[in-house]
Amino acid sequence: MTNCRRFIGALVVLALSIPSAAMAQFETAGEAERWHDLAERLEPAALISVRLKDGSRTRGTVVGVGSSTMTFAPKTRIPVPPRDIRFDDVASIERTKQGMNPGAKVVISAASVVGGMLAIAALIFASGID
Amino acid sequence: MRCIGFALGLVLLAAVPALAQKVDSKGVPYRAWDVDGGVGFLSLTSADSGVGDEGYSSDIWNPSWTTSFDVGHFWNNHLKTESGVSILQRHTTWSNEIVPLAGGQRGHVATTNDIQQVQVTAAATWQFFENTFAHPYVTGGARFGLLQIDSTSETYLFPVSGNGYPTRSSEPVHSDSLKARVWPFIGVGSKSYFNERSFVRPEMTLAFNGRGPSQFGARLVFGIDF
Repeated sequence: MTNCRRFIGALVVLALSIPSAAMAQFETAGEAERWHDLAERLEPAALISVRLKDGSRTRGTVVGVGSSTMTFAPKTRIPVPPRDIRFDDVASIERTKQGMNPGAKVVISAASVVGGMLAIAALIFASGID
Repeated sequence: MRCIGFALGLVLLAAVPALAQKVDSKGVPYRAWDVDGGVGFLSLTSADSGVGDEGYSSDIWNPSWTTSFDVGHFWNNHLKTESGVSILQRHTTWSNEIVPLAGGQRGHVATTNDIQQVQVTAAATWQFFENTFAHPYVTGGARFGLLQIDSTSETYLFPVSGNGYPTRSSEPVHSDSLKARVWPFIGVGSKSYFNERSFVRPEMTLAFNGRGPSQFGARLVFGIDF
């Protein structure tokens, strides 16, 4: 009786898992085609952010599109060679913008803080004159 | 001869980029050295900034502007060892001592200490992320304080009895001395790049003496990788 219950339980689990696996396979195949189409339609030097299914995210530009892979040049500080990314591995592709570099942001922030402090000091000095 | 030196210099300069860029075991490129310099402030407790015999409370904080320079060597894409020097503002302290003398007379020794402190740091730094334009980091190590102390002492004698002003008993006595101290420190910062090599580095540090936190500093330095 116990063996029979285990067998039925295993069958139920198997029956439940088959459709989801098939759906996942179907979605992956469809997704890869869509990412391929999207990559082909990107204009030259478009900056994009690619998230892979392993969770990693990279910014860069697409420099070539094949049937199952795209050649991607990551936007790194020290230039690195372009690499191939399989469309099957892509979780998302988003357009992104070229922002201000972090160094400039730090300098502007520091200048703002110093400017604010000077302004406060000037106000205190001015109120002291009266 | 000068022309040969100039040519050799040019060759060396041209070779630096190729020599210095390295690739770690994961294939991430990095540059092996960096240098930087900048300004900031450092607030020290009187225990760390003074001579030690002033009789001040040890936890009075004294701020100072600092000028600092560092050189660092990357052992891989994340780990750097670094040494640097920070020059603090000159700082003056005073101490007073009452000395009982023969015949019931009292002497008063007033000492002025003009202190120039230079700190030398040795640190290990771990920076996060790989080959990006912004690398947050944590750092820690030892900070060696070298205090050059110019002291001037004047001795005054109080009248033996009755009221009256003390009189100076002799000419001021000058003396020079050196003190060295060491403190552990920790810090956080972000190495933020303008381009492939040049960067700005905001950093905050906290150093400790036997009584707890004793130095707090913040600075902004500009540098270059090579």
